[in-house]
Amino acid sequence: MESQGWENQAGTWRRVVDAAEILEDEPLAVEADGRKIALYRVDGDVHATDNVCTHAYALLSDGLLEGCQIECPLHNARFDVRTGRALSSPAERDLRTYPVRVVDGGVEILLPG
Amino acid sequence: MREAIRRVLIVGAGHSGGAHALALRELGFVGSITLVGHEAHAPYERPSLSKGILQGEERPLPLAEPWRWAEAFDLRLSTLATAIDRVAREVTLCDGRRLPYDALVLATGGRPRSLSVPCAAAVHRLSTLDEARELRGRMVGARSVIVIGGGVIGLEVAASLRAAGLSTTVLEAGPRLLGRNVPPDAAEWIAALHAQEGVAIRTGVAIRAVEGDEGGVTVRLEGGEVLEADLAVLGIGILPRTELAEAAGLPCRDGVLVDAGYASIDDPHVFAIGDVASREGVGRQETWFHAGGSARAAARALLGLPPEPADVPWFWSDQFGRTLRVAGAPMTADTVVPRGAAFSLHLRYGRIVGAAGLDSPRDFAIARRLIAAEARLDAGRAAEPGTDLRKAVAA
Ligand SMILES: Cc1cc2nc3c(=O)[nH]c(=O)nc-3n(C[C@H](O)[C@H](O)[C@H](O)COP(=O)(O)OP(=O)(O)OC[C@H]3O[C@@H](n4cnc5c(N)ncnc54)[C@H](O)[C@@H]3O)c2cc1C
Ligand code: FES
Repeated sequence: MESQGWENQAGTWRRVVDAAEILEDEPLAVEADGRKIALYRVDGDVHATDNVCTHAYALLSDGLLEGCQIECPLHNARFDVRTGRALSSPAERDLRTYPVRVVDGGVEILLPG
Repeated sequence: MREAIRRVLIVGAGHSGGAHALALRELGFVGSITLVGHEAHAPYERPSLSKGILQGEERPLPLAEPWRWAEAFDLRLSTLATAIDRVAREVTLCDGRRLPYDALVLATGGRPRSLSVPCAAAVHRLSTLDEARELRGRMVGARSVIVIGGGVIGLEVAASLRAAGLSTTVLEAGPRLLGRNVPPDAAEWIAALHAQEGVAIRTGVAIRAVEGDEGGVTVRLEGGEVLEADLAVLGIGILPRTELAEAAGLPCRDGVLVDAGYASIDDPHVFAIGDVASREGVGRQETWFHAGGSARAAARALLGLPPEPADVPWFWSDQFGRTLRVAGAPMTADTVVPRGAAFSLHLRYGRIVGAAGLDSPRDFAIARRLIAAEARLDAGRAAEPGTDLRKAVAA
């Protein structure tokens, strides 16, 4: 799911944080509608995925972001933060991603439902 | 070209055996894969046995969804392999059946070491899910426990039982905790954590005998002191299960001796992975990371694929909600650079060879990369917790 094409999706846009708070190299944990979400800045753009790894339980916002890849802090699975794709073992399942837009300096993510 | 491999037989359906089977399929192997496992459970990850399972979790993480084993593998549980015939290339099972192989992969792990002094059968060990569940059951109503062994597993068990409210004592024979695989500074952080949580830790303890039954345990120390508790758990390390390999004449020395692709140094049709493998020049590793990494490396070698670049060895240990991580070979360092209260970088001739930290996962991830790159560090900058570690690389 890319951040383009969000116009067609159902859901609610939620402002979660000021865009200036998301730094390159430093993923940020937020919560919205009871979901744990991680935000990342890659080449200027902001991306959002579920924060909880699909392998066991760890928060990806504690992990190391290199380019567009986040490495899980617990067992080192890597995911592409733009697509959510699981890139290495032990993760077998992809991460859920959320459409992101920046409005008036605030980061908004599209939550389903 | 090597002769075609159509039948892979894996003995030991634990973490490494299971991961190897999955890796072969992922790499496109279409031949038959048979897994023979002594336990009654499909391959699972062992770390939660000393943590989550003792704290009430139902089951450990499976290596794969249960249906995948039935679909793509011949998984034979509750089955012991009893002999290898390397000339006929067959393995004999406990029921007398013989299974032929083109490639045999030994993933038999280790068995818990026993005390060299008399030790009652009521003392718990913790190497399988069934043993963990048994201990979990016996924790109900118990008020005190003595853990024999101050290594990672002993301390994790102590932390789990202490968190469940038991009065907990750890007895360690060596002069300090975690002497085998954790540098002294990190062992101190763990000792302080246990002290803060109310675990009694005693080092330099010599045990004369452990007596008792389901009703309670008595530990007699050299010098006459007697300790009593409702439960006792023994965690003083493992011995690699090499009996099958040794009986078949495969070279072993603290593990089955293997090359960089995890093939036996004496037989290209036999591989050994996980805790039972001893790599020439490297030795044995007993970690989650090596169980999976060696399984994948052996799968590539078996299929004739080029090796992937080796990652830096590391492990973690969860105790009282904190996570200790250790990477590389910190015990070979000549200089230790503390970075904050519970993180340290270990240098040898100015280059980083190891790292240890309580929590701080991002610093640890960077340190692993620096160790792999054999980076030369500016110790002054590395010591400042506010400075990005990547910027502490010396010119
Ligand atoms: C309680 C516990 C906690 C741990 N926690 C951590 C941790 O936090 N972090 C970390 O990095 N590592 C941890 N480890 C280490 C890690 O789990 C092991 O390194 C890993 O399980 C090794 O995998 P393996 O496949 O070599 O052996 P195992 O997973 O032990 O599997 C070996 C299997 O082979 C079977 N077998 C043996 N002989 C035969 C035979 N002749 N026929 C058929 N089957 C046979 C055994 O029954 C067993 O099922 C822990 C280990 C334990 C026991
Ligand atoms: S929890 Fe993320 S890789 Fe295991």
